[in-house]
Amino acid sequence: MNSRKSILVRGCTGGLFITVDDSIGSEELNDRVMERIRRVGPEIRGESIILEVDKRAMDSDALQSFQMRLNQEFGMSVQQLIAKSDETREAAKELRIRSAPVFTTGRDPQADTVSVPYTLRSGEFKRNPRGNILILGDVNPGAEVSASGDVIVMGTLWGVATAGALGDETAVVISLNMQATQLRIAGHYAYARSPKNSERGLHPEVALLENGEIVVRNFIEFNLLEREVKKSWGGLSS
Amino acid sequence: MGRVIVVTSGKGGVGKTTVSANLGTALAMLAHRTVIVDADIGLRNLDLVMGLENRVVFNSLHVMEGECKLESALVKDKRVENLYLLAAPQSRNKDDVDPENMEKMVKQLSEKFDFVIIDCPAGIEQGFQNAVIGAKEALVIVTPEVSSVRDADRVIGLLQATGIESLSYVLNRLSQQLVDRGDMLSQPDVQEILRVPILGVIPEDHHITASTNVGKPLAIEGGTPAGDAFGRIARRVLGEKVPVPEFRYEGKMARFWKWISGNN
Repeated sequence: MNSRKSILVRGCTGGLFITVDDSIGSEELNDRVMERIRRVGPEIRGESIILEVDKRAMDSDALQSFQMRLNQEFGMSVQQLIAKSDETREAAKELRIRSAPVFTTGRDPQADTVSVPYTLRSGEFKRNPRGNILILGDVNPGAEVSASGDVIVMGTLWGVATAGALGDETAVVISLNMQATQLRIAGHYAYARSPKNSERGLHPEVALLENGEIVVRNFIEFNLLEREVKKSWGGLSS
Repeated sequence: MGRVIVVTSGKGGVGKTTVSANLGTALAMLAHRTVIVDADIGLRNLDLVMGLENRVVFNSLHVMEGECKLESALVKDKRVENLYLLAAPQSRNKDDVDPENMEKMVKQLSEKFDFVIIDCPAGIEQGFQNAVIGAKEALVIVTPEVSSVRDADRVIGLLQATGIESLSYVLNRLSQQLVDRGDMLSQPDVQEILRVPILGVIPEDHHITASTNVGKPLAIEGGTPAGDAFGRIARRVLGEKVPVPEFRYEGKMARFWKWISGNN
């Protein structure tokens, strides 16, 4: 039993990245992976996993039973499936799990945007692990918002915002009035600004990652197109 | 059917009981039959603040459990016409309350009174849920501190998810002097976060401490900044448009000159 070699676990933002070798038989797959996750401390497990299965063929029943056990034992869910087999990806599609032949941190053009049509008050937490989140109101102090893609707040952001929760470093946080307690993008975090020099009124701003640091820029002057160019050219300009 | 108003805050020590007692008193003085219900089961103190401690025989739990009639548990305030108190038990705790019985009792009260003011316990647990259950209107008490605003915001979120139809807040213990120095949140600061209608501002007033200790609500006699503020809040509850005055801090010298010039 050298499960260490055949199952590789890495941490990623929001959960675990688990790579399963083809040497593991499909009947023991569930047990072995669960056992492996159990060895990871509960405090760093997170809530979702990205499962990489190489060329393994899995039908939707196998995938569903995996998903169910994962949920029952750890309360986690499969966030993304990386599989080279068309059959496996087809099964994932059936179960509405995002899948891709290779892992990329880039944004998913088909990502859903969840829209929240009110102000988030203290204690409320809204998240979208499958795309962007749009808040049509404020995010009050003590409230939290999180998305695997972008976070857009059409109001004042006072609370905590997480963009690129699963590791997308191109994700941004946009707000009409940026007063965030804390900003997090793809595992990097920043305290926005001290509440002392808060100004009233709306100054749309965007927070993004630049050279591993979160910077906040004026949204009007900032050219989002530039970011698109950087992304498609693999960051040549930086 | 009378109006049922729950006075709540989330955070403790921001003045729920003081506001309940004084708002109830002020409403009664405007000739509305009013009962103030202490919903803080196990930590009763509304009767102390109202100065009615020695007259409490039965409490709300006796009523809810059918040990006495509602009428015999109501304590009539002898100083103010139309004002009644329904005390909480001190020896039991919040788990002893059956939410259904609470709702029934509140409904019964609302048939007898014009106003039922419910003094809610701190926190957002069962005690809060029980206090809110029969109310249609809520008054959230908030002091100009970040922690209080944060908790009030949480409570407003919870109230909006229940059957509350009308919701406003009272800004308590505002010191204009501290606001001017930049040491205290101002009313616009609080409004910017809570975004619900404000019913009134009560200035920080040392008379409150004394009135609480002797058990005589400030609203009974006018002439104090906080007492007058309660009167204005009561009139706004009744639908009158009463402007919020500016609470200017007056130093000793300023008060002296004002006294000299006679426009007091």
